[in-house]
Amino acid sequence: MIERTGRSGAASHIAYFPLKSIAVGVNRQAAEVIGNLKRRPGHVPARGGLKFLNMLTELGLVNGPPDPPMARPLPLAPRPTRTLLLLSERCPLACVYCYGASSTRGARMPWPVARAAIDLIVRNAQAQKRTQVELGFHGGGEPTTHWSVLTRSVTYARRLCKSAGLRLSTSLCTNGIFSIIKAQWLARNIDGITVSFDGPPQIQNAQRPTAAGHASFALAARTLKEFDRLGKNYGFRVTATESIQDRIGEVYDYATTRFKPRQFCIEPLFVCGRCATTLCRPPAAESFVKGVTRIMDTAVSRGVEIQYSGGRLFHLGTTFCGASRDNFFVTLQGLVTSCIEVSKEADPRSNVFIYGRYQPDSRLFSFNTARYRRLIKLHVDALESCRDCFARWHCAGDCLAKAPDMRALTRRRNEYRCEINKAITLHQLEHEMKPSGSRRKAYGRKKNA
Amino acid sequence: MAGKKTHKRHEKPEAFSVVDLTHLNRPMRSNLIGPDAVRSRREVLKRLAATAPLLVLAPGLLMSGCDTRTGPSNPLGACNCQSNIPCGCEADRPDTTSGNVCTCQSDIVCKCESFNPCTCDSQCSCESYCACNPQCSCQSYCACNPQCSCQTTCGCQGQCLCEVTCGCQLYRI
Repeated sequence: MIERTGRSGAASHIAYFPLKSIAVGVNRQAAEVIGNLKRRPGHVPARGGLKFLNMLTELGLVNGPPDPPMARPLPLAPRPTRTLLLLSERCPLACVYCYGASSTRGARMPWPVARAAIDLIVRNAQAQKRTQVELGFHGGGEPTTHWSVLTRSVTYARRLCKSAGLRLSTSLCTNGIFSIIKAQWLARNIDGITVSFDGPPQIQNAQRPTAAGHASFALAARTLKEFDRLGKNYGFRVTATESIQDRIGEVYDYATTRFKPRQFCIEPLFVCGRCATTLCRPPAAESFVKGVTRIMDTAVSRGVEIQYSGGRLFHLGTTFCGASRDNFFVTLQGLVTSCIEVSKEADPRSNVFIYGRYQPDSRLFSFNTARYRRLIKLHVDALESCRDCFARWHCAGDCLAKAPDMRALTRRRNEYRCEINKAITLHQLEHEMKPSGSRRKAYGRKKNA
Repeated sequence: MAGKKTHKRHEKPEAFSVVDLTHLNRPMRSNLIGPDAVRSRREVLKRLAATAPLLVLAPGLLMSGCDTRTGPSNPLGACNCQSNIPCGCEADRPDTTSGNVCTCQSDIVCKCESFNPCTCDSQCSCESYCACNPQCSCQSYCACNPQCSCQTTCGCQGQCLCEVTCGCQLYRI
């Protein structure tokens, strides 16, 4: 039951039944009837309530079938058919909020590690009679700084898939700082590209300077223009910080009018990595919500999907992302992690998320099965703090890696993100309750991370 | 003291809008809810739409299976999909249709469309609540659905909790 702030009388509350996909705008008396019924099954309202109850019964909300089981069983040992390779610690940029705190020097993934990961997912896909494998490239640093292994991986995977009769799906997260030649190769060979980009020159240059301290806007813009020229499907990933908390609309307008992205993903800064030295801070929750809901309201006409990871009314599930499912992310040291943000053994969260490693002798991956099994049980049903939340099946417990205490993963959530997630989900729900109808496109559809 | 007499007004519990959200992710949600339930809900909402003061807002439901992205539809009638994408099919997936039937393309998200015959193939991941795949055992639907075995008994009559079949008056959520 959600009380609608600022409303009284008619439809002062929303009775929301997420697993039945129904929302009912009700008055206070009806809200009380439903609340009483939930607390005390069999309770019948005294005055004029039977008609209302019959309506709920007809809709299957009262006395309907029990809610279906949501948790989907996973194999008790990892059998991944998709991988994300964290190719490099190097990056030509020195973003003020970089979680990897990358630099122009740093380690890169040896080819045998990448090859072993590709071999494994193809082998598993064949054994499971799948039709597709997924190969992605992500940070730590900038994956295109390890160009030879990136291109070799795609070529190798394509060859293996062709002989196995599998479809290959490829993706890349990048800063867009590379040559036109590379941009053209990526446009041809990578299916989905996400460019981390913060919009207007002033903001991009301040938040995402080069390692030498120079402006990066022109370099990124050159790549984006080339993608646009080639008609490439790509999206933006924008990080909202305190300094731009009131300029989210401006960032969106600039990015979507000057360039042609298909998605616009915006996330509030999570303080980690380089933030310790730059003192970069996240936006106020209220400002972030205000900015994001405003662009969601205007996004339909522009045809660009707005994505915020914790606000997704369209989604019903038990996990926020694949970190508590079967993510098989391989770090450049050959570690297997389920979370992109936890890639080093020194990270205090590593004993939750890192569950395997590459063995150079056998050229195979070994897994800590007990740790994997613990991970896949971390779905929203296990999170006490989410039990009574209306957004429980939407944000599905939110990002585990951003929980305030790894020792209390099931009991404590990141309250800052909870506030944002609930506000944006409610905004989406209230919009759906307007006669103007759906704007699913505006809210986008987050793929499994 | 002669005080002013006040009357506490007793409002009736009422619903002012009912919104069906199946359209937000039709394949996922209609699998979850069950095709039969979605169908019967559509009938109920049509009937309720004529009942004041209830205002039924069901943007997805009244489109009779049209994908909201494919164009306008007749509010209460047949689907008027405007594109060559079949009703209910995802635009971002290949169109492999036979007639008006959307075919599953992915083993991750089954494209069963409640308004069309289910075409899950063997690669459709078996969900316990997927009524489409004959290999999946139906766990959660009550005997209202003849395909499902009754799992729960009614506290008062020892019968199904389904209101339709046993008339059990024990309301519950």
